[in-house]
Amino acid sequence: MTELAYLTVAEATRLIRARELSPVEYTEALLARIAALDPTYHAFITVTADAARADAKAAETEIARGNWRGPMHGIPYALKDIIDVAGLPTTCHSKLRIDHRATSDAAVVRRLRAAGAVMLGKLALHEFANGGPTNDLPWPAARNPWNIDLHPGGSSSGCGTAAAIGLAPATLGTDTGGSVRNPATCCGVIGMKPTYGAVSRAGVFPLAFSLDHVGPITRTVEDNAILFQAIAGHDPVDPGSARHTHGDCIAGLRAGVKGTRVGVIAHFYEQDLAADPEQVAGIEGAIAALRRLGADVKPVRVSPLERWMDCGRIIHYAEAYAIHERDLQERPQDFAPITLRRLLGGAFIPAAEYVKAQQLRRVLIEEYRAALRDVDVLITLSSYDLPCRIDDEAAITRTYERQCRMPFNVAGGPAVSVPTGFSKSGLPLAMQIAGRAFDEAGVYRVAHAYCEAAGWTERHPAIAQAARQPAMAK
Amino acid sequence: MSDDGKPKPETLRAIAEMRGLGRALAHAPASVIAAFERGRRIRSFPEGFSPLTDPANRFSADPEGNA
Repeated sequence: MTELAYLTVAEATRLIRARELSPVEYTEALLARIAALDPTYHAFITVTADAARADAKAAETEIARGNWRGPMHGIPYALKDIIDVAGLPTTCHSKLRIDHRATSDAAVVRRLRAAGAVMLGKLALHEFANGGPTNDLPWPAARNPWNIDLHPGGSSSGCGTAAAIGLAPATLGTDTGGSVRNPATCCGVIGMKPTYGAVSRAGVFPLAFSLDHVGPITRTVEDNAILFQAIAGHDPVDPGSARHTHGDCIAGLRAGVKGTRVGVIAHFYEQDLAADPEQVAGIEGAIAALRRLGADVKPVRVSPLERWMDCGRIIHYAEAYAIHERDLQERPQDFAPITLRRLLGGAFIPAAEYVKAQQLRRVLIEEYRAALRDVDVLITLSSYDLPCRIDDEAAITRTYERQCRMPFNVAGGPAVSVPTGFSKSGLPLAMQIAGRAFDEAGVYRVAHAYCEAAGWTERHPAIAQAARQPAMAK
Repeated sequence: MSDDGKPKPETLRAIAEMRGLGRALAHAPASVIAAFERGRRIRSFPEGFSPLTDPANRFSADPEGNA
């Protein structure tokens, strides 16, 4: 029997539509799993059990009447607690927001309500999507599902943990310098940073306006595409929202990669900054697999990683400081020390440097477009290292520099993190697949072909000894 | 600046206070020092890059321009 905890969105949709699975039964099973496991994994800040039961019941009744709204109807999901849900606090995992109440839904929540999805609750993150795991906050830090002593990545840490350990099949995070793809990488799941402007950020607490994205984290590529399709689209309330729309991400998902031109940015991890050999072996195995599937793989060169990182970092720090300046001046003691250190970085960036970073960004965006004239997608590493200990702050700080996710926030194109295997110690490895602006469909197609062939997404973490419970079966 | 390129404590204090960060400096001096010392510059630009751009960075009130 398929375990409900690891049912994919695509499987659940089919069963729910055929009335072989009750959204109420599905939701209850996940709520029970959250109650049993979350005291160990700390993925959730708020569990909205009563509202989830009511939404699941409404979905079941509506579907029974023959009114199936689409693939998210009756599907449970959870979201990073930086996204507004009317009537609930948006804590941003911070003491500064402990008394907050959202008065309206974020645009993505409205879209998911309209799609009939069932919200399970709100997920842990790094404070204001910018700090790190710490015990200095009102809620504990989410744990890595493959080893609870390790960092699950961030800042959408609860999303990665919840998806990987089977607490929610669909989660929504945000990504300013890699915060969807980093937890996806560390937790062995799929994390998509869509094109800048493809998904509305209205009702999402900002980190850095010109780099912020909302993106899905799920266990399979198909599920990720389903969730992306449900949340994407123009929103006049978000000044960065684009009228240009993405293509159909589901229709061509299984078209394969025969003849697809894949450019590998290997200099990022071979020359610019040396990566852990196991991460490199993972991506090299994936490149070989893509070749076997019929892809035309060739090397691609862009600016050195350091230039992309500097450009993104200056913009990120300056914009984040602008948002938090008043609190940093008036109540610095209310931030966790790790957040304070990161946010204060923006206080000392000269205005001229921010202007030059934005000018450089235009040059780099053109370079990115040029690189994608001769190939259909780009691939490169995601993290340079394996997940480190959750209590090793120095190692966690290093992970912010030792990654190549920021280039895609700077360029704005879609980039997805997919697993490339496991280290000798049993930890997930990953790479990124990136594409042209609004070509999420092309990125998902390559990701799906690779993941289906590789099979890494079928492996799930063992439940930690501290959280053992009877297996939950359908 | 001192010989190692780092700011003298009194200089850093003055800069932090100018930015309204006196409380932060008193609460977490090491964090303020670390933030100041963290890279504040772009270390390399592409060949031919100049902050003199013509035309200058575009401003667009049209959300489509942000794509």
